[in-house]
Amino acid sequence: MNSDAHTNEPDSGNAGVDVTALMAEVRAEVERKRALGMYPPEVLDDMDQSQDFGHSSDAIRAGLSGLRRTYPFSMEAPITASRPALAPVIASTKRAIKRGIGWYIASIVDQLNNFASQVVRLLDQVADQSSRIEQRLTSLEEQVGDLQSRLPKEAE
Amino acid sequence: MRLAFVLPRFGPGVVGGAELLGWRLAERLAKEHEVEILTTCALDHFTWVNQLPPGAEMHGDVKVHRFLVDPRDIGIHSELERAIVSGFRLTSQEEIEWLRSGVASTGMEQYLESNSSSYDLIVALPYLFGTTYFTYAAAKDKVVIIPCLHDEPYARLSVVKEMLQGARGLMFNSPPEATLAQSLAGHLAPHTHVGMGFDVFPDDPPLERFKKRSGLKNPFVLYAGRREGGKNTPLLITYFTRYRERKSVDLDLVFVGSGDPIPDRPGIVEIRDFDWNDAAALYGAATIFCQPSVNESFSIVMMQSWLAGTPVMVHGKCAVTRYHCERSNGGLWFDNYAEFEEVLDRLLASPALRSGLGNAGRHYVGKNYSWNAVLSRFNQAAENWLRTEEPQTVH
Repeated sequence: MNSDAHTNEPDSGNAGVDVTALMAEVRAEVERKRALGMYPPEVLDDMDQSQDFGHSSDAIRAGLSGLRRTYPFSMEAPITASRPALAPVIASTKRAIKRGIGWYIASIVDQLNNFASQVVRLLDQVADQSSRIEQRLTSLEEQVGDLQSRLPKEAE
Repeated sequence: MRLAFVLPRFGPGVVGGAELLGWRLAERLAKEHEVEILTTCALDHFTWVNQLPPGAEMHGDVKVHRFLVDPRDIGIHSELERAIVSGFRLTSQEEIEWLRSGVASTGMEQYLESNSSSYDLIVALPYLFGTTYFTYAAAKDKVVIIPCLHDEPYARLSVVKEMLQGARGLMFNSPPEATLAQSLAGHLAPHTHVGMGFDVFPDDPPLERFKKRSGLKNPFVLYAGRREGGKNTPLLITYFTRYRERKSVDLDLVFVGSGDPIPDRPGIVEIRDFDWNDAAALYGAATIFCQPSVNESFSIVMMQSWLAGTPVMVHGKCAVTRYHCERSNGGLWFDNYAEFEEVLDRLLASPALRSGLGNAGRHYVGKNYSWNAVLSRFNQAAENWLRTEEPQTVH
């Protein structure tokens, strides 16, 4: 019994506009603008999240891409003040506090950066392993489908 | 042929692609065959409350039999539904329980047990409802299913695989839907692609009069249909709002249909109580039609847009709508906001591009989804499946 999925396929339309070629131009232009930094962060995040999550390894890699943008951590915090009359005093106080406990904060930030880089490295390995498992699963599913199609009808 | 169509709902105000497809096919086939509809007394697909009386009535040339929906255990249904959506595997018994507590009619099943022999074929749609499965269970050697399949957790139930493998025949709305079915069930019952037919829109609909009457002053992107997360309308609103802010254009997004409330944002407009007799003018007046849904088995509204010569934008992750755009050269697609913006920029900048895409789409619908073409495919498959003991897939 023939089970070709593309039966009675619609006749294709007239070839006035080649939408496949046009979409290739669209994607190329989007990449050009991305490389030039023409998109704000929310558009970039949307692009990362729109990756095909049919494979979990791609979802992990998209998450990794977001993670990489958020670290390493910095101990630089803004030393500014918004109240005009008190601004110089507030800014001086903040600088003094930073000088006083900077050594302590630096130690903690170092540990955090070390932890974050270990996490990213581990997730990279998870993504690789997930990708290998998905490939193996796809191969097995194809074999099962092939075996099923060869079973005699009465045996099902 | 003597045909029965089994629909979960039928009647005034019923909005739904599968229900519309079933009714339109039945109505057209009734001109050459003896056709009846078996349906429930419910009109609301959330509550499934019996709103119409049981019994038989005529709608044009079609006799409609209504049966009461069985009492439902909504608690059980919700629990099982949650498990399905969360990806848990149900036992066969649990799947049957989910179907029974969704929409099922013992009255309809008893009628089929007594009367299925009087029909040549029984066409049931869509795949997701108890009325379809229990019809299949009652008369599988006569049941042709129009699945209207979506790539969603429900499609992975074993009862769905059972129907896709065991029905007398399957009629898909598009080749990508058939591909999806094959990936889910492997070995399929004999199948073909049929789809839904369309009448040509009248020439020169009164576009300016329509726009004036509807208060539409700007060029607009049109969305027609249910507004809900499942149709991805929140994404369309987000993308459109961002586009409008970034580009500072006088472009509106017009909604026609029911569902989620319309947000109060510049450029987002709703046409309430729309008269679908004005469909040609609505689609023709639109600059672009956008179908953001990733869960379509056909998209009636996209085809209607093309009938009016209006170009479409679809979500690139919907295999079905993207397939039609590629096949017809009548539409473009987007996978993210950046592509949405780029596609919209190009469409708005070029009337020639819009016209080229729209005309290609109109040609495609006229060639493949005229009623003549659709009924020809239906009849060829039905006659083939009736004629032989070993029905074949129809090419």
